[in-house]
This record gives sequence, C-alpha cells and structure tokens, in this order.
Amino acid sequence: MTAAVARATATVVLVGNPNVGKSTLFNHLTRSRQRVVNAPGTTVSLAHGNWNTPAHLVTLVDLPGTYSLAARSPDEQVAADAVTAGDHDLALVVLDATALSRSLYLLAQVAVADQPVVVALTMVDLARARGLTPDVAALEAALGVPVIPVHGRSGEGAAALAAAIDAALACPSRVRGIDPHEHSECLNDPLTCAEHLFEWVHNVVDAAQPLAPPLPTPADRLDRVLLTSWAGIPIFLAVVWGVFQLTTVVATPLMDGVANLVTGPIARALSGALEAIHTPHWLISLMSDGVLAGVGTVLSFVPLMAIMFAAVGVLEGSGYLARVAVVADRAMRALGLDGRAMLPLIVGFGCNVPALAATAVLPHARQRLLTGLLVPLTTCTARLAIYLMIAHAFFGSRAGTVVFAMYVLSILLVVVWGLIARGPVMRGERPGPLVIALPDYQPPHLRTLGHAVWSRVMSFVTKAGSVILIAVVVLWVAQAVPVRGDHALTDVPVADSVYGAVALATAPVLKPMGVDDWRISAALISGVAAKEVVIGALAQSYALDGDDEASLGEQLRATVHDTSGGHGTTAAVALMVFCLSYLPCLATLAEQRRLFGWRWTALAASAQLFGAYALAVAVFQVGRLL
Amino acid sequence: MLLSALHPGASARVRSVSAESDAVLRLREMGLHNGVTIRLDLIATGGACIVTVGAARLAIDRATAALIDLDLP
Repeated sequence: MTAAVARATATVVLVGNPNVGKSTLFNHLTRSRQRVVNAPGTTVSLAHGNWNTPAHLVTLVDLPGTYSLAARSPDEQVAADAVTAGDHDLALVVLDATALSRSLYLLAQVAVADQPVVVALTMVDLARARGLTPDVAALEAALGVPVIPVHGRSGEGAAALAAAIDAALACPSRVRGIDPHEHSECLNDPLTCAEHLFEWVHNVVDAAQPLAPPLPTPADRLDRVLLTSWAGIPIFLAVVWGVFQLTTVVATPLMDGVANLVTGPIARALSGALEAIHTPHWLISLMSDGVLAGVGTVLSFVPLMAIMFAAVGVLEGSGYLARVAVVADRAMRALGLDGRAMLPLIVGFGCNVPALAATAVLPHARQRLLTGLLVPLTTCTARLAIYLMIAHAFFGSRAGTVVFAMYVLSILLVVVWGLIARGPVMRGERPGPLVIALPDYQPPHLRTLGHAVWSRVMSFVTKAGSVILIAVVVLWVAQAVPVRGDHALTDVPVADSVYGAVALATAPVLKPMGVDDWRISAALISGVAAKEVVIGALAQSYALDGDDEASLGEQLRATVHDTSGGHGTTAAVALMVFCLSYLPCLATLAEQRRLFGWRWTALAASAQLFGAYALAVAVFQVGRLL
Repeated sequence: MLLSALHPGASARVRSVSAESDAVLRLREMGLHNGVTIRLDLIATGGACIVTVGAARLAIDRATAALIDLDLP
C-alpha cells in the first residue's frame, strides 16, 4: 500500500536566451501537460506546463527567449515583466555552455532583479566539441546557486534538476557576487550597469571555462556553404521552394481528401440519420450544408497547417532559420523586417493561411504583425485560377503574360503596402542592426516538434475554426432565405435569396471598375468565403441567368463588354487587380484575428478593400482613355 | 582596424564600438564587448560578418561591423 504524499504547489519561470534549448527542456519536463496562452494584453504566446517534481506540483512558464531584461520588443518585454514582477517562486535560468558569457549576462540581470535561481546548463556536448567544456563544479562555486547540466532532448539531468528545484524552493539561494541593492544604476543607466555586470561575467567565465580558441566544427564548414552567395541563395530558394511544394502539392490531396470525406460519406450519414428521425428539411440542410460544411472547411485546413507548422519547426530547430535571416536580410530590411520574413511571404504565394502560421519564425511581435498584414497581398494559388479563367477569356494567347503581370503586381503591392504600413505598425521601432547568434546545426527533435505542431494546430482549430464555422453558417443562411418569389426555405434560386439581393445591391459599386453586374458581385462576395469558389459562383449564376450555349468565359466576356461600354479587356484587368487584393478569404481573416486580434484584422482588411477598389477603378478609368 | 576591414580567418581584440548606446548595449549583451577577442570566420552574402566570440558564432551586418574598432594582436 502506498501513502499519498501531499505536494506543495510552486510557479517556476524558465528564462534564457533564444536557441539555448529552453523549449526543448520545457517540453521534456512537462510532456503533454501544456497549454498556450497569450501574455496579458499582448499577442505574445506563453506556454504553461505542469511538472511534477518529487516534492512539488510545479507550474512551469516558458518565457520568450531574450538576451536581456532591457526589453526592445513586446516578446522581450513579456519576459522582462514576468521576471521583475516576481509572481513566481523561482527562476530556472538556462545557460548555454557554447555561449556562456552571453547567457551569464542574462543570469546577472535576473540576479539584479533579486530572484532566487536554479541554473540548467545546456549544450554541454556542443561546447565539448569546440574544446570549451565548462567546469560545472567551478561554475556552481562561482555562482553560488545549483548548476545542473541537462540534455533537453534525452532528458539526461532532469531528475537532478527536479531535486535541485525542490531543494531551492525549500531553501532559496541568490546568485553570488551580485547585490541587487548595489546596482541601482541599472534602472537609469543600462550601459554602466552592463559594464559592471560584464565584469562579474568575466570573472565567472575565467573561473569556469578554459581560455582557448574554439575548435572548428562541421557547423563552421556548413556555414561556409550556406552563407555565401554562390550556394547560399540558391539553397535558400530551394528550401523555400520545398516548403511551397509541401503546402501545395503535398497538402492539396490531403485537404481534398478530408473535404471529400466530410461532404461525402459523413454528410450523407448525417442527412440519413436526421431524415430517419423526421428532422425538417431546412434543419437537415443547415446541419449538412451549413454546420458540417463549416466543420469540413476547418478540418480540411488541418493537414495544411500541420505540414506548415512542422516545416517551420524543422527550419527553426535545425538552426537554418538564423542563416535565412542573414542571407535575406538586405532584401527585407527596406520594409523594416528581418530576413526571416521572406519565408512567410513566399509561402503566401501558395496559401495565405499557412503563411500566417509561418510568421512564427519572426522573433518580434511587431515584425510578425507587419508580415502577417502583408501576407494576404501575396497572390495565392486559389487566385491564380481566377486570373487564368479571366485572362484566357479576354487575352487568348497573351494570357500567360497577363497572369505573370499579376504576380509582379502582387510583389509590388507587398512592397508598397509594407512601406506604408511599417510606420504605424512598427511605431518607430526600426529594424535594429543585424546582430544575431548562429546556433549550431541540430537534427529536429521529433517529440518537441510533435508538441509544437499539436498545440499550434489545436489553437488554429479552436480559435480560427470557430470564426470560419460561424461565417460559413451565416453564408448558408444568406443563400437559404428568400427575399422575393414564393420559395421554400433552403430551396431558393440564387437571384431571389438574401445573398442575391446583396449582390444586386452592391453591383452598382463596381460600375467605376466597369464590371457592374450582379453575377460578378455575387462571385466576389463568395470569394470572401474562399477564393476557390469564385469561378463556381460565376458558373452557378450564369447557369440560372445566362446563355446555355456559350462557355463561362464567353458569357463573362459578353457581360463585361456591355458593363464597360466596350472596354472589356480594360475592365477585365481591373477585375483581376481587384481580385488580387480586395479581401482575404475567411480562413485567412480568422487566422489573422487569432494571431493579431480583431482591430488589426479589421483595419488591414478595410485598407486592402479600399486600396484594391481605388487601384481597380484607376486601372479602368485610365485604361479606357488609352 | 575596423571589423569590416578584417580579413576572414584573422583574430583581433575589440577596442571600442562607436555606435549609439542601444546598439552598443545589444552588442555587449551578445558577448561583443571591449577587450574580448573575436575571429572573423567569413563574409556572408549581403556583407554580414560571421564572427566567433568565445564558443559562439554571431552574424553582424556590414554597417555595424564598420563601427567596431579592433586591435590586432
């Protein structure tokens, strides 16, 4: 018989530089007992996890990686606030054995904040490979707090760390050699403070690490290839191409498979079950064409999001992403972003939703926001189908050139909107000098990767998914409810539905673009749900109200010829320009809301809509004069 | 001698950094402070300097590298 032992609760914050193995350690200690929350009043994610040590039920909080408590970004501010607020029992500071002086500086700042500390020492194997193995006993003696070497991937050292945490919670110890009361200058003179703290750092490093030039490692040789122009840029483009392929060629059949499963067998089974219990027809339609269709839309994105999150995790965890920041830095700096922003922007040309997920590669919240607002301007493959249909209908053999021009315009819009938006978004936060640590290359750690993918996908399903579901049901209601004629609910021709009435009412707004026709406005409204349905919506409208003998392209050409007063090709270009950027699809809007909140999402969508309208009107009005 | 003028493979000691105080502070936080010995490993595409400081490697853009004054051994 075993006696239950009552364990005390405690909160421990995990503090460390970026890329020191902090999150790997967090995942190992907390396993699946985690939840991701936003830091209060911010969009910065914090992972909370439960860790059972022999004597305590520990709530472990994985703070954003930072080099300093003198914060320069919202992420760093969250870490600094959490440490200095002191709402925890202990700070578990992770020191990187390959960058001891940099890690010790952060530890010194935690000590100035008068926090009880336990140290976890990571990357000891990598330091050993460089001939710079730290002397753990000497380090512990110099610091005066427990120092536990750990290996986040294998879990080696976890038991000793748990014991040290229990001991430190029972009898907290402060870092030796730093008296918080003697460092009052840290509040108003950070440079002088840094001088003093680095004196302490030098003394500790001198005592704990051999003074020798580091030995070369395979990472050095790999960097000679990956960071130089003859190979670095082609390899970077090949990696981005690979991610692009994953989100299109690999993900598309999976997405179709899920969508077909939901709208096919599952929808039939649901309808059959509801009919069997004599459910009214409208309710069956609501459940299968509204709610289930919404659930299907959300679920169909799951494979795509999982693939994207996994790709981002591999690039991040392997150390390659830091090299991307170097290779693409010069190109992205003009927009106020760092080189890593290149990845989400290129992925956006495949699909905007995983591209928004890929903004996680950026280290600062404002950079993620600016990039996330620019992503919808990258023209996704769903929009390509619209360009192809219109370009073939109006430009024949020159269709390829016209479609290419749309991609060039998309890139120009990213640049122009980036230059316009960087002021209000970055709020004077200039891209600082490129000074980044290049972590050693490591193979991805599957368990950590799995945790990250799972928690991010669940966050997408629960937060973005609910918005998508509601929007799809609203669209169903608009199409199911008649505004004229003697139609039964759910059995309404498009033109007589609320949806058709809205399309008819909004069509005149499109007159300055030369395309004021209700079938076009209806298709554009459908395109907000998903760009893939624009052509289907046009075909549906022409099937009800068009020439059965003519193809869709021919019918559209005839319509636009009439609405534009004979300037059909100019109006077609205006329509394509409008389709490029008028509004992102629902899934993109929902993901933007999840990441950045309603305010930024609404502001960006409004700006895009008005910008697209102004541009399309200008194209038509100027074009018809030429 | 400035870091931007150092030859790849050469080592030197940091004498001073003549940047704004915030940039100086960030460089110090990254381990690049007066008196520390660094080695320039390579010049990356775009001009960034890849340096080794202790056992760690840093990438520093060209403009910032031109603000770091070094003493050759």
